[in-house]
Amino acid sequence: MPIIINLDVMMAKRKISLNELSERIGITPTNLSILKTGKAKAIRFSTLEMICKELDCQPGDILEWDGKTSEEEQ
Amino acid sequence: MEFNSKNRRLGVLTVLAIIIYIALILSSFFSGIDDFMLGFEEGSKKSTSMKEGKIQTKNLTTVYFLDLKAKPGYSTFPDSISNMKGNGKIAIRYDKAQAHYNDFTEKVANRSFYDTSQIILSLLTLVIIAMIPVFFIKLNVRLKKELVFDKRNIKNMRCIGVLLLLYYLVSFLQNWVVYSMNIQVFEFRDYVIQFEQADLIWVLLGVVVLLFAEVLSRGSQLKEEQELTI
Repeated sequence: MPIIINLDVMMAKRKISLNELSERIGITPTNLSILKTGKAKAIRFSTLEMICKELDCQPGDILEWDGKTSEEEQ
Repeated sequence: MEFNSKNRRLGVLTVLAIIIYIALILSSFFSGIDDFMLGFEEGSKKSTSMKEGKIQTKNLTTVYFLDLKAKPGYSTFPDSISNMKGNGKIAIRYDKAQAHYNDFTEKVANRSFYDTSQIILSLLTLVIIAMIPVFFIKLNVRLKKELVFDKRNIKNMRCIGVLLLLYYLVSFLQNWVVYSMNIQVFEFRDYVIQFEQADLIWVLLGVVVLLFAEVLSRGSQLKEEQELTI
C-alpha cells in the first residue's frame, strides 16, 4: 500500500506503549495494532485527531506517501 | 424487538420457500406419475417374461413419450375423438402421445446408449434436486446468526445458482436423448415429432441467484473496508 503508517516511530519517540495509547484515545488495542501494521483500509479524521493530540505531532508525522509503491501498483 | 421481527420474517420466508420447492417437486412427480407407472409396468412385464423363459416377443412393448405437432400447419386437425356431451366425433389434434412399440423384434439402434444416458441424467437430476435445499438451508442457518456478508454465504449462493443452471442443462440433454430416440423409431403421416424445450425459468432463476451472489460479494468487500476503518 502506498500510504505508510509511521505510528510505531512516533510511539517510540514519545515512549508510549500500544495499550497505553489505545486507552488514552479510546480505541481497542486490536484496532490500533491494525493501524500500526498498515492493514487498515481507512482512518477517520476523529481518530487521526486523537492520535496527533496524544502524540503531540502532525498528521504528516504519522502518514507518509510512497511514490514508488504507488507506481508499481498501477 | 427489531432483531426478533427480522428473524421471524426470515423464518417465514424460509419456510415458504421450502414449501414451494417441495410443492414444485411433488407437482412434477404427480404430473408424470401415470407415465412412470406405465413405464414401470412395461419394464417389469418384460423382465418377468424373460426370467420365466416365456419370451412372447409379440407382447413385449416399450412405451415412448412423444411431443407432436400436426402437419402441415397450425390449423390442421388430422384426428377425431368421440364427444360424449355433443354430437359424435369432433376433429382433434394431439400435442403429446404415448406410443406402445414392439422394439424387441425390431431392434432399435443405440438403444442401450440411450437407456444408459437416461439413467445417468435421471440420477444427476435427483442429485441436483437434493443438493439445492442443502445449500439453501446452510445459507439460512448463517443468515439467522446475523452472518450476512460472509464468504461462505457467497459460496452457498453461487452453488445454488450453478445447480439451477445445471438442472436446465440436464433437462435439455434428457429431452434431446428422448427426441433422438423417438425420431429414430417413428415417422408419422400427419404429425411431426417435436423436440421438447426445457423450461427456461431455471436459467433465469440460476442467473438471478448468481447475480445476488455478486451483490453479496460486493457487500462483503464494503463490510471488510468498514471494519478496517479505524
